[in-house]
Amino acid sequence: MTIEFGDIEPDDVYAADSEPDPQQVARRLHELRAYLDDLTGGDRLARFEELTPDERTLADAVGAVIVSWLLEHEPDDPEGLARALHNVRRYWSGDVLPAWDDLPADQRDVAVDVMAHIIAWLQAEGPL
Amino acid sequence: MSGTYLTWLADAYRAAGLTVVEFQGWQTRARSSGGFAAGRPVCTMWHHTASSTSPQNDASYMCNGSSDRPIANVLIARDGSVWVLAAGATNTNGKGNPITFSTGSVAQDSMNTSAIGVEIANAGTGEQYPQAQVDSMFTVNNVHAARLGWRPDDLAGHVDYAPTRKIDPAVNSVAGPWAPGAINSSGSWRVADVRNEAISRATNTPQEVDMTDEQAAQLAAVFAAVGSTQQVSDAVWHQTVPNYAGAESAMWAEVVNTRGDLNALIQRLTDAGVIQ
Repeated sequence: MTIEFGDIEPDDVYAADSEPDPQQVARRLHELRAYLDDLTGGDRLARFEELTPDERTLADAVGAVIVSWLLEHEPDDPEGLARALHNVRRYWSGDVLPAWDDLPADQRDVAVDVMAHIIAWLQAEGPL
Repeated sequence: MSGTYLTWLADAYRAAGLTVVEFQGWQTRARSSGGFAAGRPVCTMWHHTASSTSPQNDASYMCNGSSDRPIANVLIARDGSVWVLAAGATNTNGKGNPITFSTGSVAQDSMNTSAIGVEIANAGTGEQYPQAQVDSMFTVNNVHAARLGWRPDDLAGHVDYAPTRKIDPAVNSVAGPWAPGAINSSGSWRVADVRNEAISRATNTPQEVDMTDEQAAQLAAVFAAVGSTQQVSDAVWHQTVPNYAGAESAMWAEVVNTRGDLNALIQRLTDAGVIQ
């Protein structure tokens, strides 16, 4: 009988002395995006390590924004993080993106849920 | 990308004669904290996978399928092949007791940022470890020690770090001339037996060095200035080989093949004019 991998439990994941790494936050966010893309039948996103240099630069910058915000705020406000990230991306786009409050409510909900996942992941592993 | 990523792992294992499989993206893969901090890692930690599936399935789960990915730096398959999964810190050691190794101590619950995590493919319930797999385990450990300036016995099992919640590696059924004793009814390997075997298989054990007092003082100054034995080699190589990047693999093949022979290092330092 084939037994699938069994050597992992919640206490194996933690490290008391760690800090979040922007690039790994970017990687995790990209993986979540890829999953959402798969779920909705979209074109498969490239793997993180296969992103073009420009795409990678943007992804890493998003990771840096998230980590920077989390280091300056209490990690109990995924809506605040989602809003802050959207505002930065809106600035980068030259205000092409709509303001956060003008986004459809369901899009805001998705953004907040994704940021909640990122925060929960970092808390479980110890960086927050 | 913060911290140090051990991107030399695959080349160093190959140079030691191991069969290596590089899992896509391993060079940039890490847990949420990224690479290792200065002075880390300080040890190798062994685990068993508690699985009986293919190495491809184990590797895919550890890198992509698990929500706790990446679960280890390295997977050693039953055939002795070495799968390189992540160059940064990983999630496999977790919470445990403070422990000290030759180049540093690990604080409570901090092993994930201090160890190279090695998963060994084994069900953990009585399956025998093939000799090829055991040989690779020790070779991998001794490559880490040679490369990072550790002692060969800077090595522990998960059970030694987290004895109240883990039993791996187990059970103590091992093919070949060496077998560890057991410390409990689960067959967890006795760490003293593991460490003694690591030392006996390494050729970079502490050795008598033939040098003058003046050479010793000069060498001590070099070590104090640049850190580990490995960094000394790097510094010498930078000084003496213009196309350092291209020569890096060849250099490491030599370092690994000599298993960090201190006399050879001294000769190189002398030849390079670092010491007279």
